[in-house]
Amino acid sequence: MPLDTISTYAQTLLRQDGRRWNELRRITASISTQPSSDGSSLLTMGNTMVLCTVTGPREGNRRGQRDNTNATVETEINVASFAQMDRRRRVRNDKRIQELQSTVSSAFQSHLFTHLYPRSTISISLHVLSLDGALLVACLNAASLALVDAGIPMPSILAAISSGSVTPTDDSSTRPEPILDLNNVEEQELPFLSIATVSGHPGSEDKVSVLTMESRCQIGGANSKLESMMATGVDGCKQVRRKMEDVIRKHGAKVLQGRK
Amino acid sequence: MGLAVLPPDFEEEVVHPVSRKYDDYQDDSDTSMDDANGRPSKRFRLSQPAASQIVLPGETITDDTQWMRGHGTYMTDSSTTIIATLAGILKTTNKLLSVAPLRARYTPEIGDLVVGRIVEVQKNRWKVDVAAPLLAQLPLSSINLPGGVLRRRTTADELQMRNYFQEGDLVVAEVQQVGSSDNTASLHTRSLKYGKLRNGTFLAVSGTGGGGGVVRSRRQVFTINSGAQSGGDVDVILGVNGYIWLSKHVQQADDQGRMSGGVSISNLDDVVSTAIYSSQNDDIGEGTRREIARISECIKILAEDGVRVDEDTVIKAYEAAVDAEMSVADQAGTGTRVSEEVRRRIVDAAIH
Amino acid sequence: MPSLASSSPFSPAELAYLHTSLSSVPPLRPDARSLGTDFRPLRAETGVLPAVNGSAHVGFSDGREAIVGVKLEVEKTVERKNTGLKYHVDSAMDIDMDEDERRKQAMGKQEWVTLTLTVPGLRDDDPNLAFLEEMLREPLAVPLSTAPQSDNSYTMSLQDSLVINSRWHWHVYVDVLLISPNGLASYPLPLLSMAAHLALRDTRIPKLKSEGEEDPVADDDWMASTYLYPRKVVTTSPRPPVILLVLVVGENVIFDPSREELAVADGIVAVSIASSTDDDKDCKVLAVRMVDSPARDTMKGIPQSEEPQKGVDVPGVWRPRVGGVKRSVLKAVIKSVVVDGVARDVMSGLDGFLNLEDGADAGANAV
Repeated sequence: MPLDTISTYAQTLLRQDGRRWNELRRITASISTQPSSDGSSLLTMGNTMVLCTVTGPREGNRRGQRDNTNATVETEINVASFAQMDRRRRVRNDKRIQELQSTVSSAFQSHLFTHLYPRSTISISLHVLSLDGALLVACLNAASLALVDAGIPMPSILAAISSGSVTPTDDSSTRPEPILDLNNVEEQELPFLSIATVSGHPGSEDKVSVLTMESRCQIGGANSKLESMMATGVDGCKQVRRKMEDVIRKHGAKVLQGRK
Repeated sequence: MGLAVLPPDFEEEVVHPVSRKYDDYQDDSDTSMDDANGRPSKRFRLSQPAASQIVLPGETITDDTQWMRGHGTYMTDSSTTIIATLAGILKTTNKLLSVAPLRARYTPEIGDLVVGRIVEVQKNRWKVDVAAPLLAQLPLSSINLPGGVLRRRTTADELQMRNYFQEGDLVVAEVQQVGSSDNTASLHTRSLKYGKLRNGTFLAVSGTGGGGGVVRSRRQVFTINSGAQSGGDVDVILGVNGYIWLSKHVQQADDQGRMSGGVSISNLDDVVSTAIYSSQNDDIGEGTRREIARISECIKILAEDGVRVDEDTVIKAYEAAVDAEMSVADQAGTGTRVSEEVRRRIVDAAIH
Repeated sequence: MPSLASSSPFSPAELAYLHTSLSSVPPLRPDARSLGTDFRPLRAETGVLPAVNGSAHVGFSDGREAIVGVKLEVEKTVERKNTGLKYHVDSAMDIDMDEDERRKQAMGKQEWVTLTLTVPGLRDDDPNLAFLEEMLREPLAVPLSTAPQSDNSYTMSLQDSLVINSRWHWHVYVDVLLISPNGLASYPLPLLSMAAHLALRDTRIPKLKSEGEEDPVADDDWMASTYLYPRKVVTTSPRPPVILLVLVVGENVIFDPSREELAVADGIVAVSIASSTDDDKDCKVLAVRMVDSPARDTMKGIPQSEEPQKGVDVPGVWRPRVGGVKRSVLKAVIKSVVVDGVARDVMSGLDGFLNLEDGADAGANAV
């Protein structure tokens, strides 16, 4: 059985795990998983599992770096050694992890209403327990849920998804087709991007908050991949956001029921 | 009792609250692609208060202009729609719309009675942790110094700050003011009922502002009578910030107050002595200690189950706990922790 | 609720109160537990991670959680000159070999078991972290029994069961992740050791299609894999060890201490226990270590009267603990663990949980 997507996709229109082009993997999430922290969440997207705890806003530890008008968002991402098929000891100064941390921090720094908590620090701690693609995406989603749980005000819920592009045959004249939510194998084979959106003003379109791509693809021309990937991604984010809202509502209902 | 290792509670199916006023987008299939038309209309008109309606960040509450927006909402410049910024319950008070979050950090307000822990000793003030976004401050000029209320604070006082409060000490204080730019609380302990805490134990409950946890009420400080259990009375201080102090009841302060016709500015210096800054505990009997531990557990149970913690609920919970344990006292020697059934009875008693 | 208070010390008044409560006989614990041997309930789940050989997720009610993943990898055995690792297919035939020689065959090495601990916010080479890792790893490598087993296999310690053949062995990687608001200050040793224990009991070794001295090839059928530690629990089946933290205050021995109780300890003892595979004993103590008590680094309290003479203990005023533990009390600790059945209670609690899970799985499969 071939282990790549490209060779069989044209005939079957199904990916290796049997999904269609726009099917998301199974997403499960729960919030307030750790009541002793300010906010917490556990999110799985397929086989990718991320646990997030949020602390804050609280007084920061470092004296010099305090912003007098806004809260500072700090992120720490920790990929467990047992997260991938090969046991991999984490490298402390992994540049890729640092870049991901910086992406998550800046995404929420501009998204949250940080002006309400000047001079304080909001710390996001992400633990990747199992990794099967969608690393940045799962981190953003888990952090988003945990921040909602922590009661930090935000204009809308940030949701992320990855989207890629598959060219069905070697014939360069066929249009490339977008696919949604890539797993690890697909990410290694195909170009893909991670995109996160936030809801726009009521009645207007969603706005893109994060857009990162580590692979290469053609932007313009007849076989442009980028536009279709982005459009699919924005739609995919909507689906993810609905799922997250569902989870939060269920949790809220449970809390209220407990109080009655 | 041996070690109990239990599987995690599994999620029960929760019924969606019935008070939702808009279309319920029930389809959770993952294959729908085009939802430009399928998106539910999330607006509704608030013609009457919608109690216990859960709103989420980004959700439009209303665009009726008669409403004013309060905490937990925001309005964009371009329209008059009010949008929620927190996940919580919609509250309507007259014409004010606000969202009470399910969980949130404590935000200090003037007049709050809080219990705090000293974390830093600075040149002429202390920094106090009150579970707020920023540390609160307790200036040297805001505490009672032995020798008189109106005495000037000298440099000698500044050098001896640790004789009054040192890192780790617990204080009960009142919020005097809240900084306008950053909401930093400024505390004071200028009354005899404030000051350093001793003779007891501390616990913290989280989730203030959400409905669980400590709520602002008229009486934050009260006494529980536990004479029947061969314990003394227990003073309970419920800090609005979720920090709680339980201690042996102190009788003298009341007597003194009554004797001299109340404590006023003029005789405050007689009453204030260095003793109020000591960390020496009185002798506390076993019975009292046991009751303190029991009340502590009751409060923890209330907090874990999301019941609000105030004088009423704590007293009811405690009485239920006493009753419940009396009925299982026959099986003495089993040494069990508070069992599930007792928990439920405590919570039920507190709610009703 | 995490706050700076969790990392800063308690007030001397609180400490004095706690110490007096815990010194009385019987000890009056702050969370109203009646006995020194009352344990707080644990929430646990095994088999939570998809890409590992075994996993467990364990949490206390105060918010501390630990997630452990166990992975097995095949590794080439480096033969050292003098030990001469030999493996005889049918060692039962060599009746002229004495016990010691037979034991030297199929002997595993301690380096084949690696345990790493990750605590967010701490460097990997933090000394406290390294100490904790070693405390968790060391009992795993200790032989559990000295007597031969009924089926002529000499499984005496974990590493011995990792031998495949003379050139290959399994390397066990136990990765522990601690998620706790207070980090290491919460003395998570028992939590981590129980999580590691459950994860190891959940670990399965893939069945090998290869035989004898061939290079190992694993069977793709996961269901054909066998448990590293036998699942059917009999009192004599080998089980991974568990470490208990025991508090000593005055004359009292207190188990499963909470953070407040630890702050006033006269002494803290870490006891590793394992179920003994010898028929006559119930549980044995593998190691005993003393742990620094946090009560040493506290500030003393301020008495009401003016400075008394130094060294005089004013009742009600806290003094940092500087003494050690009396020998008689240490004996009482060991007695409590072994004779009075605390170790047995802990082991049966863990066994009971795994039986519960097995029962649930069987029920689910049967449906």
